[in-house]
Amino acid sequence: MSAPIAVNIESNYFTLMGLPQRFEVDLKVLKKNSRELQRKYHPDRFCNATPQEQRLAAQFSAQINTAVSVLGNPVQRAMHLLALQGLVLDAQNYTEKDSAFLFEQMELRESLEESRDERDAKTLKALLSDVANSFRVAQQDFSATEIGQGQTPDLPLLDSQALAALVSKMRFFEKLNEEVSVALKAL
Amino acid sequence: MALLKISEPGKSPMPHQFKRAVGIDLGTTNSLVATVPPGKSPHVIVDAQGDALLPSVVHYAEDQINLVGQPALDMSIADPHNTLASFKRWMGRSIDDIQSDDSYDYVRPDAVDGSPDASKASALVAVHTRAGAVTAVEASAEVLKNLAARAESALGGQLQGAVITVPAYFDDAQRQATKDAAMLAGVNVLRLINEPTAAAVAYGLDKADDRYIAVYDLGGGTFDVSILQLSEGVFEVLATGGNAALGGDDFDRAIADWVLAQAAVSAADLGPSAYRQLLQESRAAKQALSEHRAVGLAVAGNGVDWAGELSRQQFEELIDGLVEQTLAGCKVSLADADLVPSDIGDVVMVGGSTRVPRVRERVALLFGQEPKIDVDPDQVVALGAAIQADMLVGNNQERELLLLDVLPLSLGIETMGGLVEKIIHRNTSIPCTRGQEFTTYKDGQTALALHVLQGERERVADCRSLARFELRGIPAMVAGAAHIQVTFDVDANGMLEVSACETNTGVAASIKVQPSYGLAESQITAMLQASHQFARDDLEVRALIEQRIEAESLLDAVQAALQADRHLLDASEVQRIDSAITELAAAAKQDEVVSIKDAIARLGHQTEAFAARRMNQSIKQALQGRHIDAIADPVQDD
Repeated sequence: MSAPIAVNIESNYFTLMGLPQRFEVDLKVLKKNSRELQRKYHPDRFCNATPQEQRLAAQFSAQINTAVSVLGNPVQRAMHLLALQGLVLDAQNYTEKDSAFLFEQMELRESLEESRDERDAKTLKALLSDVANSFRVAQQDFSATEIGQGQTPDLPLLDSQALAALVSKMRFFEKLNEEVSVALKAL
Repeated sequence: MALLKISEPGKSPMPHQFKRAVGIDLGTTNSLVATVPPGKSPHVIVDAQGDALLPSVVHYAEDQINLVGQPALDMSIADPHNTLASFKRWMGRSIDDIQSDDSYDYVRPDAVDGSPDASKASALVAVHTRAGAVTAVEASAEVLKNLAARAESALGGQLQGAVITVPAYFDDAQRQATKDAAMLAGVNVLRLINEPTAAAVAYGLDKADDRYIAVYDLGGGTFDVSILQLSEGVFEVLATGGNAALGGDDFDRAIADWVLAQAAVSAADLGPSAYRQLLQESRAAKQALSEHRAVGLAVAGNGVDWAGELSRQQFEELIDGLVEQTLAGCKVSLADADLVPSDIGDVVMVGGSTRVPRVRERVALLFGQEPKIDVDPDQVVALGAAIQADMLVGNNQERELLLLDVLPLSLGIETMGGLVEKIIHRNTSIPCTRGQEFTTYKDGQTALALHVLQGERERVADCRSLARFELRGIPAMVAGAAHIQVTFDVDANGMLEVSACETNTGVAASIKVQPSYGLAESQITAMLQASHQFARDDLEVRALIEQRIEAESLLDAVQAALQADRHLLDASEVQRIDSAITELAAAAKQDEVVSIKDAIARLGHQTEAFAARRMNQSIKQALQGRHIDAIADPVQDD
């Protein structure tokens, strides 16, 4: 059996979606360009094509959807930017070393648990706005890095630990933001 | 060779040739089939008696001929044990589901495990009839066969394909069961689409500006509400809700109960046959009250003799509690979608019971706007499906309808401790692909078992089991050294396929799929062969026709591709493809199914690389073209 033939899909999602390679993305352009590609390549457009073309279209259509979900999510977008520079973060095994941030994490978690148990909507709302703000700041911090700005830095000079710490921070606030929203909704 | 016609990839090489395509609404109570004639509006196809609605009822008669529709419904009282109705409720459901969930109490009490090999892993619900244990898949196939035959005789030939509608909340097992039914019926499924989306398409809402849409579907025995979001032509189901045991039949019962109270008798006094008569009269009264202010009603039999009048106002008081329940369902779904009634841009009415003026009034009051009722509420879903089918086969190249869907329920796999790790989250745009890496637990381990589930909850026990996969042929290595990349592909219909590969060695692991609540492919084949409707000869004739249609469409597509992109091939490649074309064209003229199949496979193989090059070229052009556009016409921020 020969290896399955696949289309040579653009692996840089920014190029694929017609966006400049940097952390700041215009979500409207992302949506517009993905719709344009889906209009052409969605499997529904290939009902009369050969089975091979149908399979390739389905593959590409799925790839477009993946690109949209990666670029549409700040944490995944940051990781994709890093991956394009050859930096693949092992998210599962990353350990936070910044003790001040570790302490902050603990306090925020405690605050969430307490106000959830006490059904304290006012504190939860305040917490949500704090967390959303911290999430925004973490994103701005990443955006300000060379990679976030879309530059191609010299690899040996990159502080990959610092970048990993930034992504980890974003990931923490993203997750907490969702948990607080869920807690608020459950009230 | 005939003159070649030029077309774009994926488009029909002969745009003027009408292809027979239909939309099918496979309903709980009634089913319909609709089509779009060339240059005309969509319409439903009626049977020889002029009826559009086919009752979704199958009767297994003594002479081994299955009755479908009204004749089957007529037998439901005389011979209930050999008559199946409302089987859509147990599509893709197991006997365990039914026993553990009170809301399934409408399934017949004689329901059994219907898996042909009696293995617990595919314990589909079935009921005993004189034709043996019958599953919902087989009964649905009878309904589909009947509708397909009706359409084929109206359209004058075999169907190219059908779009079949399913409830938005149908999970993978239920969608698969629907596809299996179509396969058994010999109907080629172009696409499964969600019922509320089809209704919205019938109203042309896909062309509308971004908005939220509520679809209120009150049928004979079920109530469904869906909240859709339309954004740039994409329909996303935000929330679904309803009541599986509430419908227009309850309105009839409310009237009958009122009559009994007026006559001061009980249903038992009246006897079953007179009570059935009363129910039918109540139904007629309900329909008449949509037009008239009052109707006469009478009940007689078993010493009972009463006649009186029911006014519309009295009727409305009788059903207000029931209508209120549907509105409560709407409010729950709105809350689930994080919306308030005034956020809704359009309200679409589906189902015969939405003809009752009181229902419309109350729905209008809740949403603060008049609901859409211009399209026949019994037909609207089938009509929307027909529009989509017409588009898919390439009959209508003007309408830019593209239905992009999202996964209705999250897909995950079982991990340690009976927990579910989500691989693809609900509301992810489909088609989609996700990879997940696994490794071995023991030295020399060559197999791995995966349990795939669907649902939002965290525990395995709270999600629905979809299938178990066994990966075999993993190269023996020390524990943790193997990197097994498992790929989950969800197609445009929301259905899952799994493949696996060990990444170090490139060895593809073979996967054995055991659907938890469905039919394995071998079981479907066995059912097809055992089907009483198909004599062996019929089956062969049908297979031959199907292969010829497939050969023809492949030849069309390849010739169109060659005409457009011959320059992507070198001389020897062209020659190989040309000879495979000649071979297939010759085989298609003979009566050998196997040789047509082989020739199709050979032409497919010869054009594989060509297809990839064409696709690459097309994508490259699309990306470059867009880049130039972007410079010439910068996108504005708003």
